[in-house]
Amino acid sequence: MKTLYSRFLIVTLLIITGSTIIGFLFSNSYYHQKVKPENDEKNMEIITGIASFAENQDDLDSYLEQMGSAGYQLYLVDSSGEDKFYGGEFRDKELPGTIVEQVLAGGDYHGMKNFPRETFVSGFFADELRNTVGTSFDYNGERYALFMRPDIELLFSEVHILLGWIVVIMLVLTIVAVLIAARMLVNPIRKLSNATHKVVDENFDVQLDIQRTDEIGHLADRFNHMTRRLGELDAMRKSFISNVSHDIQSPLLNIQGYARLLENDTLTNEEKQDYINVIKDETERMSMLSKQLLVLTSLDQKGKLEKKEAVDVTAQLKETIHKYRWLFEEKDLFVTYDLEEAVLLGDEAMLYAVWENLLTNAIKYNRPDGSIEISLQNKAAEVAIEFRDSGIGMTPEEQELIFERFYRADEARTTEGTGLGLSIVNQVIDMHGGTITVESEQDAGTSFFVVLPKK
Amino acid sequence: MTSIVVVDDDQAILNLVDIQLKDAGYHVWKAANGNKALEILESQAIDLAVVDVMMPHMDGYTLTEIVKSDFEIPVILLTAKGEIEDKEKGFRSGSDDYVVKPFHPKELLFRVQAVLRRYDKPADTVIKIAGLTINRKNYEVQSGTRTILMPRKEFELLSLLASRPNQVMTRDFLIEQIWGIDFEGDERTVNVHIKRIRERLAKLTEEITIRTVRGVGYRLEVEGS
Repeated sequence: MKTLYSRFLIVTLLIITGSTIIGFLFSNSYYHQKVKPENDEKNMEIITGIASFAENQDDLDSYLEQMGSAGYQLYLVDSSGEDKFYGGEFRDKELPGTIVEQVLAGGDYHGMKNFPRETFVSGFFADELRNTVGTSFDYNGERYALFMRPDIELLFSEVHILLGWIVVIMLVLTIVAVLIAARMLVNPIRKLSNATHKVVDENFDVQLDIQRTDEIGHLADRFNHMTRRLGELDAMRKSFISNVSHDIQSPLLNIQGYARLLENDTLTNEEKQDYINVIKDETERMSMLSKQLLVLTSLDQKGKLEKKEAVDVTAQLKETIHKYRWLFEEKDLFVTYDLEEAVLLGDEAMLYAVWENLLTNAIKYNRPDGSIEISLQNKAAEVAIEFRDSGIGMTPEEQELIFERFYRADEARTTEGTGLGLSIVNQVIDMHGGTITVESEQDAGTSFFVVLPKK
Repeated sequence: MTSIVVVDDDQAILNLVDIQLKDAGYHVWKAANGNKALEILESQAIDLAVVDVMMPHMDGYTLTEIVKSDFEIPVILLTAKGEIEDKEKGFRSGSDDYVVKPFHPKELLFRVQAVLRRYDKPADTVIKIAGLTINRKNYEVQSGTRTILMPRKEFELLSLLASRPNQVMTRDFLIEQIWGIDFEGDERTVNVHIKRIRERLAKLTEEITIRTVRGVGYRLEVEGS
């Protein structure tokens, strides 16, 4: 496996090498462009000085010897071709004869300035005889050619070593530092990676202990938040599934049971009808359950309203009332409504489901000869709708739970219903940016207040 | 027996409506499209038509217009969900009521009975009394901007009393008018209904009171008249 460590190391080494090469190329080019002619000129001055001194020396040989030990590499040739080196030895002693003749004839030699330019060799350090400056002088009536370059090795070797140490220490420290930095980066990532493994195994109570304020700390925070949310969703999903299976199972059992009862030949017609009615009711309940589950799933998937259209809420409410008028009649309910005209932006079908749920609840949980009052007030920026019934009401504990999925105040589940209706209502209103509140008193009635923004 | 023609191109709905209406004691004629329906209407005495809006060839609106102008019988439209515009169009073409699909069997039955009742008792349909508007056509009471839907017997009782304010009506008369001569319950039923109407009226208006005339019956009084 390619670890982040090795990656960091390789990248660091590459950067060091690369920057070294680039730096060298740059400085070399700078040397050739700018330093070389200056250096040549400077050395030319020195050699001119040496030469003019040499002319007046008693002992030329010892003078040059002295110069050589003072840090100059010298090469002396006389007109007969006899030559001698003084000071540090040249690595490369090549020097074309024509140059010597030229200098003997009185010309100066600018070997440093004209030293060939090479990309990877710094001319400054080239310990070659050609990389010198040369001039001529007369001594005891004889003509000499003198070539010279400073003995770099002698002059700079300590600096070399110092520089070398600096570079080595820098390299080592850099690599160690990079490894430490990598470790600091890699450790939280390892922790994150381990944590994701746990999440994959549906273990949602991993909380990362990463206290950082940078991007990784941010990521860890997000991760913690995500796992917490996933945990909640998972718990919700599990209870949802167990609820759904219970709510599918119980009507099915009822249907099975009553179907078996119907096989009995001795039943009276009345009994038969009773059993058939139970079966009919139960199938209806299941059908409603599956419909509402579908609605909830689609709401979950949407999460937010995609399209908003102008919805005539007043017309929707009237339509809903119209639709259930037969039920008012059947239950002898007294229904009044006072609806101002109102149009708001929202999802028509979803809002319709809200009114239908609230109204059927008001009918379902009402008492015979009870009443329902529906009102709509069109305010400046919002629409306020109230459903008030004279029904069985709820305890405060029940009121807190009614918007939960599958919660039913009626534990025995004798009244038809799925326990999903108000949860759908709540979700739809939430998606519209509205609020729903409930006021209820047991055995006196319940009011639902819906407030929806117009936009 | 009351005869109803049901028109829908969807065979399943046609059968369902047929069964439901037959169970309720009506005689049902089925028609798969507008032309079939018109043939039946021409050859039979039909009291009411239940017409689906979406049909090929001749749509429900066109059929309704023809039925209303040529046969003068009530029409109930079957419409798809949420088509409010369609409903307006339906009423413009002359239909008397509508039911939105999918509907509960009892809803259709309720509409059929209501529409037939309305056709039985023509004329003097709206009574205005002390700020209340009692509409005997759609069985609604209006009080200002508020609409009141009362249980049917209570509505009939109120509208009967309100049709002749300050006039005493005996319990026997009320029973005969509202429950019919065959009614087997006793006078207490009337008392219970009157009590409920009083409770409900109290919330709506103070101007109307239903007074008990001991030993005789009831009288509706309007304050200040």
